[in-house]
Amino acid sequence: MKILIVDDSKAMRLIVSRTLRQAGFDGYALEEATNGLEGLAAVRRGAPDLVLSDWNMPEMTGIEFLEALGKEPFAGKFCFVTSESTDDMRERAKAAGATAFITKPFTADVFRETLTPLFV
Amino acid sequence: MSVDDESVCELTERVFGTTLGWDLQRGAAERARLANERSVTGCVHVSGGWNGAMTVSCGTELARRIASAMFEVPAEDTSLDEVRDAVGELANMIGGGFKALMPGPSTLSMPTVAEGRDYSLHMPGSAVGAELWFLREGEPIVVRVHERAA
Repeated sequence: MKILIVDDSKAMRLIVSRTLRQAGFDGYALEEATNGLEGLAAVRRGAPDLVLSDWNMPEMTGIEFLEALGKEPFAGKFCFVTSESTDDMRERAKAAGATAFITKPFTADVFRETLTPLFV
Repeated sequence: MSVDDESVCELTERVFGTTLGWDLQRGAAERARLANERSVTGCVHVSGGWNGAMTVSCGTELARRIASAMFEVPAEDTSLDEVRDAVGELANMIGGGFKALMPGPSTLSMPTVAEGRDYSLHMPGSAVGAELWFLREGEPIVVRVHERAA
């Protein structure tokens, strides 16, 4: 099982990795990308089971990344991990195929509650 | 819509508490020190239903401790890039939470970070709507909301 973490902040990629471990998702192979464009390339190299992506990134935003993934043979789950969580963003994310939405700052409990159902 | 100081305080405390495990004290006792030492300021802009910016500033040594907590490395081993990344991400989280409190729809900018001594940030057409001081182990942190006139 593979999880792709997409965030332009190195600090946040580390925090997401650490929180995944704390939430019990420590047996997964982790891959990282710094924006949607790199994320898209990573998915094409080897589809992850789950993508955890920021929204606001340079080069290609998270929502542009998700919309691009909709044109790819990608069957994994997609969860936004973002500091922005307005209703209109959640609706746009859902319409584009996002499976879940986690708002920063987050805890290991939030990761566990949100992500565990995605792997059932 | 005016800025609600208490909501911004709670938001800031939640971001520092959840991300770094830090409890912040509210207070302005050390505010003069920040003006006299090297400091780091992270800034995000909000545009749309509400227009303005949110900044978070602290001394460079405290910013190194923030980066240390995020990257899990000793503070003296943190690079300036890591310090900028860490403070920018705090500004991003506080700004994102603040944006959700204000009328929308709005967009949030990527964070920008300034570091140095004796600098000022000027945002044309805006005024400081809130200035909230905190302490972490006696070191000051200030969060400012810069509100642009409609």
